Amino acid sequence: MARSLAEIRFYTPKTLEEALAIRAAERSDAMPMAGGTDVMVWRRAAPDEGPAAYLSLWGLRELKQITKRQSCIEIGATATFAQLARSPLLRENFPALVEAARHVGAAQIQNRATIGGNVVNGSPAGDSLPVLAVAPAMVVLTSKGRGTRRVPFGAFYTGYRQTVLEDDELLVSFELPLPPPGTWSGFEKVGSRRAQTISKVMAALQARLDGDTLHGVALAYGSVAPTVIRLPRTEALLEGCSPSERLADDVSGTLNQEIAPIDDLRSTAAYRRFAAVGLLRRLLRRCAAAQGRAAA
Amino acid sequence: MIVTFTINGRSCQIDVPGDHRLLDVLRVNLGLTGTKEGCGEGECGACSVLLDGQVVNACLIPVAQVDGAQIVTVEGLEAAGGGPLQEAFVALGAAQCGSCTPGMLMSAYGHFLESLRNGDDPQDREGIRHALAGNLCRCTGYQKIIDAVSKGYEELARMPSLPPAAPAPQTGHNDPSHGGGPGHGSLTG
Amino acid sequence: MSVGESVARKDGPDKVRGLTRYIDDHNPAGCWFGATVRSAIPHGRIKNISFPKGTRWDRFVMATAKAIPGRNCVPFLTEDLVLLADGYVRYVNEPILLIAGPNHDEVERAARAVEIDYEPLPAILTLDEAIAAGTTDGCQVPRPLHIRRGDIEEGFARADTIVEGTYRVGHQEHVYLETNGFIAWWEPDGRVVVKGSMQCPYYVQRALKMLFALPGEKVEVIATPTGGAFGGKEDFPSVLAGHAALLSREVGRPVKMVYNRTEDFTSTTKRHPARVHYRTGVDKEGTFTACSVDFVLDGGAFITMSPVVLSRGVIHASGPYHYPAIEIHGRCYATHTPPNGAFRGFGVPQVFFGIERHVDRIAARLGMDPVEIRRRNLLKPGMRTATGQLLRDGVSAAEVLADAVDRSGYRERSKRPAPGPGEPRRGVGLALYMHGAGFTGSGEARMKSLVGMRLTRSGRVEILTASTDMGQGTRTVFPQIAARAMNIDVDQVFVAEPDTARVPDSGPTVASRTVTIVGRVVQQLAETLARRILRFVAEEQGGGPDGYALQGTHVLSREHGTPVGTLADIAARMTEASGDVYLEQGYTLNPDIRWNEETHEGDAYPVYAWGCTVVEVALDPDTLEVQTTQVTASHDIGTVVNPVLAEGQVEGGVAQSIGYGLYEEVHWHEGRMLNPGFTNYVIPTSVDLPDIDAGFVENPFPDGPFGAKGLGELPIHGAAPAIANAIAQATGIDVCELPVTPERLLAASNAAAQGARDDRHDPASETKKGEAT
Ligand SMILES: Cc1cc2nc3c(=O)[nH]c(=O)nc-3n(C[C@H](O)[C@H](O)[C@H](O)COP(=O)(O)OP(=O)(O)OC[C@H]3O[C@@H](n4cnc5c(N)ncnc54)[C@H](O)[C@@H]3O)c2cc1C
Ligand code: FES
Ligand code: FES
Repeated sequence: MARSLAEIRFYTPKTLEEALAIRAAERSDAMPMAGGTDVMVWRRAAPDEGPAAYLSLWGLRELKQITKRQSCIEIGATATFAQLARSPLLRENFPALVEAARHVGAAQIQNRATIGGNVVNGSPAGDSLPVLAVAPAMVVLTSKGRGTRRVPFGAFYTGYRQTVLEDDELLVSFELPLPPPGTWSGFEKVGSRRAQTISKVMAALQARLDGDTLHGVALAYGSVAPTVIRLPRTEALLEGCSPSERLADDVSGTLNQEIAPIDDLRSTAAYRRFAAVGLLRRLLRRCAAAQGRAAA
Repeated sequence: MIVTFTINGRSCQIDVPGDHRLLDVLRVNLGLTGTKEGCGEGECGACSVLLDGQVVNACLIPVAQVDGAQIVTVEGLEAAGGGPLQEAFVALGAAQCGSCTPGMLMSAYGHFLESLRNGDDPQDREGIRHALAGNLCRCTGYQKIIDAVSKGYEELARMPSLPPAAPAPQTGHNDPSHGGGPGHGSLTG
Repeated sequence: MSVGESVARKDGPDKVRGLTRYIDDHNPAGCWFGATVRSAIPHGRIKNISFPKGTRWDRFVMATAKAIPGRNCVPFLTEDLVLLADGYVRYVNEPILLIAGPNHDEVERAARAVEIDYEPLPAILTLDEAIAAGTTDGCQVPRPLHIRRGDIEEGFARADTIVEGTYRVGHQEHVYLETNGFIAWWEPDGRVVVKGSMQCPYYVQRALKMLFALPGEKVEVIATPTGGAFGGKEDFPSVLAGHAALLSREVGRPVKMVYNRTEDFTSTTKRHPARVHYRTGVDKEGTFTACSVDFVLDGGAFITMSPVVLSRGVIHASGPYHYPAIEIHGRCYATHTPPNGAFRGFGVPQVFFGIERHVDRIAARLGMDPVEIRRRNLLKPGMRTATGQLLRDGVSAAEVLADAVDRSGYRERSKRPAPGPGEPRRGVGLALYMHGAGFTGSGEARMKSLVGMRLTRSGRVEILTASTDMGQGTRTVFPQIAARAMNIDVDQVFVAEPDTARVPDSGPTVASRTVTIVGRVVQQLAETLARRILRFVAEEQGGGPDGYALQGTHVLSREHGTPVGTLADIAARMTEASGDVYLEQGYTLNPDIRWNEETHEGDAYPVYAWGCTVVEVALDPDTLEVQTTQVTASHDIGTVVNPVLAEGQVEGGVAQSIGYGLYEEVHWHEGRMLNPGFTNYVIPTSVDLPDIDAGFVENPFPDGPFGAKGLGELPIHGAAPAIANAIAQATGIDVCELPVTPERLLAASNAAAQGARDDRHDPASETKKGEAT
């Protein structure tokens, strides 16, 4: 039974232009809210610390599109995970993102949770983050005063839940470069149960299969460091190798040097290290199977 | 702020702070107490309702975001075409304590509508399990719920005209259980 | 007819339409809301309570222990629990001050604004700390229990092998989907009325009598439809009802208190954490020669239900097995944590994890088949249990074991080929168990369970009991029993709302006693009522009562087989003639039952129900995630009154047990629960459970209604130990603690690997290990 003392203002702009104007005027006084699946949880958990106003992005149709451009797929910031999971464009080009989308919460959450919210929230357990890291995505930010800027996904986070987003900016879209032919991508997650669960560890792998060897390997992990991370040294070891489950164990030493998991409520550092290798094993096994199919 | 939406086929206008949860507006302002609160943080699905034909958790939706939307709660499920699911729940013992039941039914119906929209087979048992994964039940072990959903889908598929994806308008306006509760909502037919 | 049929639950149609009104669905006019200010520390003295500026305190009404007109005590088996802490706190979140106001959110905000200064005292926070310390300041404990039978020394001397093991379990939260809630108000005539979600209206009444120094007729308790309970609404509602009633008394209006999920998690009872140690002697053939059990529980800061939880655990600790000699020692320690309370199974799931895991470990040690070792040692008619109870009929350990093993394909599944790379490792495990229905020993004789039955003017039969329906189906099953006893339609019978102003005290809705104990009285009353109706008809129509019979909605003449009138007409004439047709009767315990509470010797329960659960698991080698892939259960609950409802109880119990086995864990830091929400207290979802095959073996109990035993708790005993056994079979990891999370499996397998490495360096450890595994 919610009854607030001072009424909280709630903006529901219908266009991006309107939204940016409100954002510029209100700055940090108005918290953007897309699907609200994070914001509404904070509102309940810390009712005394909420913002003075909310700025709803849910009604901005222009931010909901998934479109193919010349050399990239553009995903609007307020596209929901349900949309992502069903998108033929993504199924074809970024199957890993479809897999990640299907792993977010359950039906009710997928119908509301947006990819932009997932990224701005910036939890290292955000399921879409490793996929965006390996794509690698370009993050498109816009403000009323300064126009649009593009930030490489790898530069978007500056620390634990810290981003480069300014308080007059909104995240409007992601641009995922179209992968070259022969590219394989996959996502794996381990949580505390099979659905509606926050990741203990998750990983995304994207690579081009040339014959039976991996090229342009991109590997990212979530929940093993303060932010989502790419693993450049492990990627280098995988480069040119033929995918196999053994390979995961071969590179596990380097992998474990590159991640820095901790003990927390959901898991232990030791387990996260173990599962991180296990997830790579799964990814390489799947990749090898796909390569086998392609070869056959 | 003034928010206008359609609830169980009837249009409704209400003046509430925009950040209030849809769940409270339904339960307190409109007296539609069939939708339950099990956690208030999106985890249990007891508050599931259909919003423009999709299942969502009413505890995570600020009412400002439903302006112009169509909402179906368990009280309107039968009119919206979900009656066969309700009957199957009774017949097969899918409701025990009943706290999860309204949300479960809304998810089950949401999955059916979703499958229709996408041309998928709603009967796939794994698919049903996944569709209900956001609805916790502590009494049943889900077995009888899944059986009942499956039976309900069978009945739904047998119906001469499949239910419209958007809820059918509902008649029977002056039933006090359907509104005019202690709050300040106004319902117009 | 009717008994044995899957009559659809009577409250089903309302439940699927959202029309059932649970406590939170009530909002009486002018109702205020209550909130609770709780202790921030686990142990200490309250130095000062202050109300800082910034809140309009004059808009709220507050109550502390000083406001309680009677005794500051919520009585259970002992009278130690306080309604509100009075200057001294014994656990984090112990209630200290209540506050009410007209607006829910404002009250909660005000409650958060209250400041309390403490003088912290050293706290004992875990069972291990409590054992080490011996006593816990400010807390009492129940008396230890001991059971001894046979010559223990001789038994162990005769053994060829002795196997020992220690098994641990932590807290488990009930997770009823409806949180605790009450509305209380005071009538102008000085009566207090409370309405809420509960299992035991008369427990609540007793508490309110003591708290407000009122006689029973001044306290009315009404049970609303209960949205799940599992024992969690046996004890705690007495506290919350007391809070709401106290606030309402101060405010002079109805007060509503419904916990949100966080408060329900942090502040209400949970299953007792336990440690149980088994030492079993066994001969070469695999027959047990002696067993010594040490069972310890963490009761939390107050005694509340712990003595009976301990007692039940101790009585069941020998499992469904026979031992020539056995000793069982049970102790309960106190910690500065929230009091632990009733939870489906009541101390028994803790010991069954121990014994059923232990038996598998004995089998492994002897190289024996887990089924064979159980078959060799299980209890049969004519044998005596650990308490010395001579088992006569209704003993089905062998039957349920055989049934579950057959139907599950246990043997074939045990012999799977080794998995390929990346494929899950599969294991299958089983657990055999029993549960005593009803109160222990002579408890049911003391309780006497009164039930009322009325023939209404319209010819319907109303059953009046204090048994609540929390989903298990009381409102459906009682009518089935009465309908069968009277040979009338089940639709003719209905159950009254449990309201202490209307229904007699048939006892609490606990201990799997509702059908077998209260239901028995329902049956007897229905038979009496039927006779009375036929006598009336005979007086009216001539002839003897034997010349008539009830059928469906009518009375028939036996001779002609034709109706002589409808029940409705006859009931109308009966009430006309003799006023309200109302009968009341109490439960009589079979006089042959002998029980010595002091020594825990004798007939612990009128009857045991039996069960066996087989679980197959798949363990992912990459992540050590365990998925249950098949569950087969076999239960003897005597006559199955309603198969669909009974299956529902089994499926739900199995699900909770799978949660206990694999997922559910309470994390603590300095006495505070760290995961009070569904995000981090993990229960299984629909994709985490397999299809559950719930079968029954019917071995009727002569003293139960149409042969029914108790069911509610039994199915929660099996899956958790069966899972542990299955995982051990699949991995070779010696699982001795629940839940079996991947983290715990990894740690255990690393420890085992470390042990193996150490062994290579230290040949002496070989023999040490041989002694105590
Ligand atoms: C029950 C439950 C289960 C969940 N399970 C998962 C899971 O499995 N995996 C997972 O990754 N997450 C999960 N989440 C978390 C959450 O659903 C996701 O993080 C989701 O993607 C957030 O999107 P949203 O649109 O709801 O964000 P909101 O709550 O609307 O916003 C989140 C944050 O992003 C900001 N923001 C949103 N959009 C923009 C924008 N366009 N520009 C600037 N700022 C913006 C907001 O101000 C806020 O700070 C779960 C949440 C719940 C309640
Ligand atoms: S109450 Fe909304 S999901 Fe639990
Ligand atoms: S029926 Fe009780 S929670 Fe599902």
